[in-house]
Amino acid sequence: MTGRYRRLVAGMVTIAALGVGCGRQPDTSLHPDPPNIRYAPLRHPFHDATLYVDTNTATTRWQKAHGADWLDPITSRPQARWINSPRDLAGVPRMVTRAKDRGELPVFVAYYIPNRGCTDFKQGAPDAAAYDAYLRDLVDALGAVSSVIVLEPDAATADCYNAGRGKLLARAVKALTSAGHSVYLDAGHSRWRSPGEIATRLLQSGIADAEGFAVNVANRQTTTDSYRWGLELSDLVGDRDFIIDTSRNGSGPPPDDPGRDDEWCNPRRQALGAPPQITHRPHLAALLWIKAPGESDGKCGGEHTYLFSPTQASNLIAAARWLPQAERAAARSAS
Amino acid sequence: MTDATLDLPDITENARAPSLRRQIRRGAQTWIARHLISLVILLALLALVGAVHGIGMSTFPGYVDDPGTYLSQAWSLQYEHRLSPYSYFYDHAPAGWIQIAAWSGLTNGFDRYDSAIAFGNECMLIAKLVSMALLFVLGRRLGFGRIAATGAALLFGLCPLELVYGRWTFLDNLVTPWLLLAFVLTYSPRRSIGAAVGAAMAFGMAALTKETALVLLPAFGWAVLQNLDRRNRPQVLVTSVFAGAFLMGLYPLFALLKGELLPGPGHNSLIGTAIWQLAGRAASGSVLDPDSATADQLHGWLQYDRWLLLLGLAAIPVALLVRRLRPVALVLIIQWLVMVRGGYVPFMHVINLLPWSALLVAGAVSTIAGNPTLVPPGWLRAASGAAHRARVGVAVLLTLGLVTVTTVSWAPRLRPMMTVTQEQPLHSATTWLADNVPRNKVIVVHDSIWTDLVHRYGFNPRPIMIYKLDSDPAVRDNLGRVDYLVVPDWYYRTGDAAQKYPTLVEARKHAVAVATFGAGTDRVQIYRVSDHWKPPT
Repeated sequence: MTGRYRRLVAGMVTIAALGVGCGRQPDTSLHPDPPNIRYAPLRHPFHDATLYVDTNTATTRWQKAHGADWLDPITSRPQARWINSPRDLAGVPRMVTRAKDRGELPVFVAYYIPNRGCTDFKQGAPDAAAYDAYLRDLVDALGAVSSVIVLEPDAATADCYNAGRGKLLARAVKALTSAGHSVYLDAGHSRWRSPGEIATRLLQSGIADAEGFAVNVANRQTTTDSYRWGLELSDLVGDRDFIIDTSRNGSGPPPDDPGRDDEWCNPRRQALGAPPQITHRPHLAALLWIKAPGESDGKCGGEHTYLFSPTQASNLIAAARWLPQAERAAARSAS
Repeated sequence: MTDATLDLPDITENARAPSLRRQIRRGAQTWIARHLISLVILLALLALVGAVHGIGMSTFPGYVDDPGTYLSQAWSLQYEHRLSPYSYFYDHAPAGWIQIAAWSGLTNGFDRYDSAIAFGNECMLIAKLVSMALLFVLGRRLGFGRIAATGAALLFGLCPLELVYGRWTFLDNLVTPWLLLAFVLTYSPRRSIGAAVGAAMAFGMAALTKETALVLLPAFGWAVLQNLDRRNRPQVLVTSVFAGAFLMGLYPLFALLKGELLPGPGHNSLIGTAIWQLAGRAASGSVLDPDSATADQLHGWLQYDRWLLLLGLAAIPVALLVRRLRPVALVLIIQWLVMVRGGYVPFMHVINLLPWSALLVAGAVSTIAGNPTLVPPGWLRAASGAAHRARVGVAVLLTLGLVTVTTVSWAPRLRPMMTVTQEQPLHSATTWLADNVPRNKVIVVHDSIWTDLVHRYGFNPRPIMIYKLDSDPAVRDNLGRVDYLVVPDWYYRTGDAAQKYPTLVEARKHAVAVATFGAGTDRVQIYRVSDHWKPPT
């Protein structure tokens, strides 16, 4: 019990007295915002991570079958693995084990929300119970390896979004994060809904527990626009981090011409965007290739499939200005 | 000796001319003795109506658009010596908020309550009680018996519709006492020049409080002419017309001195805004057209009470039979004609109908009863016993019916108005802002909480009133950023929100609700706008 101790107590009493004296003035500090939401601490899964390069994609299989070396710009780079139904779960444990062995970070896309296409429950899980089961199996398949999950592209953005879907998504976030994974809820892209509208939906969908959100998945908005839009949104959802899908945005969005529907579906003018990388810009965790480059958008633009299309892949490579001239030329001549 | 002789005249003089104080005291004593019964009745009326009006006025009715504007202008006058915190654009003549500012200056009004609206409620309570007392006096001067005058005061004081609109801080509620005072002085039994000048100036104050009072000039003029006395007619006319015109002329003079009388580029003007008020505003249509906005408004009023308005209409023909009641009947006729005209009718226009309806209903029953001071002898006043008794019987039945109907209809409506306990959502929002938002954030607010945020909580830069956000070029040009939006949901829900409030609607697209108060269209959501969004320039 020394004088120093007593001085400390006296100082604290003084501060407390000052506090009481100023108590008549309203508190001007900014409380957590919104105050009733408690955000989980960020895990920063991409910090110092190496992205996993998937060797078992439709593109790699086609490359092997056809000896197409010109596809290397795509197949040698990290991509996300889509889990579009319980059938796709089978390959997950092998991929997770391989990623762990190599010390790399795997990225998955969960894409099985009920009424996925807003077409009267024809796509996705038949009901909420089936979706919950899918999630349980996904958690089991992922095992103890911490992964990154991009949760349900378009689910929160779609016209058929409602509070019930929000609850379902929030449950999914909870299930995956409590198993140790980092979840990025899909937020659409910069020319779809306003950040305010999406922020409200993401808050309903459990963004507070998630690591953040994903921007531009399967779309072609520029990285600059996506970043600006994402920053605004991040500010509205508790400064969560976000990732941008740059798989196909190298040429920016195709002109929005309502008379030609092929512009948005397998457009002729498109290019690989920036290669997947961990970034150090504020709130932007990583640029990723989430949509598989080369996968057809559907039966449009000369395509008759939703699967891998060498034409689309060669278009993407040939137009990517950041690639070496030789690689682009090889792709151009291959098609 | 000399001392004694000097003292004597003093004593006699004292005996002849009593001291001023004693004179006043004696005068007051005789005045009170003469009016004792009326005074007792008035005190009881004031207590009753004051209680009904005052209990629950902070929680009912909900906040609406205009009161906050007038209170912010009163605040600006008291603390900044300006007519408005924004550039004054002659939307209304300023006497209304000058009176509010004067009362606040005398009593420190804005510091006595935790919200400006609550202080406005107090002002309205005072205006209501003064109006009711003047209505009683006017009834007496028109020739009503005490029962009829009390009836008029009660009809006005307890009508649920009047309670709703009388609690809101509207300029019309401040016009009512001045108009009633003008008529009270016009019907002064002495017919002195002083009373006439006072009447003209009271009418001038009514017009300066809200310029719409000018439409009643024919009715007021008729009342003045009816009460002229042959002995001082020219003097009364000249002095009262001069006094009234002088007082009202101050307003255009003020505009002229500011160089804002006539419209011109780059400045507001009295004439320019007047043209807009009269012709530019979207017409709400005639009340006779069932699809018009005016008809909708009437329907909205009738939901609170249908009796007083409709009985007032029914009383007009009876009142027109009586010479002394005709100018008062004309007041009500003009106020109804305003709604038939087809121009813009503000939703608080009902305030101008109610006191005169109450007066005419009481007057009509008195007329039917054959009150001798009201109805001159002749075919209107039956002299013979049987007819007289029949009329008195009808009047008694009418009175009983009136009492029954109003009691049955009004009591259940008044009760919830006095017992609502839910805090006003905008008031809760103000407290939330004070607790959670740094003072340097730019907040777009509903006008009803602007004064509190500036005066009580010291937000700096000052919040921006929503209706100024897109209408005041000075605000638009200096809008660097917007951090919070605090307006009731009805702003977003109106069909033309994107045209009327483009910046508000755009800002909300970049904002998220951080707190919510209340429910329905009155719900107030506090939106925080993203730091990364800037208003388009």
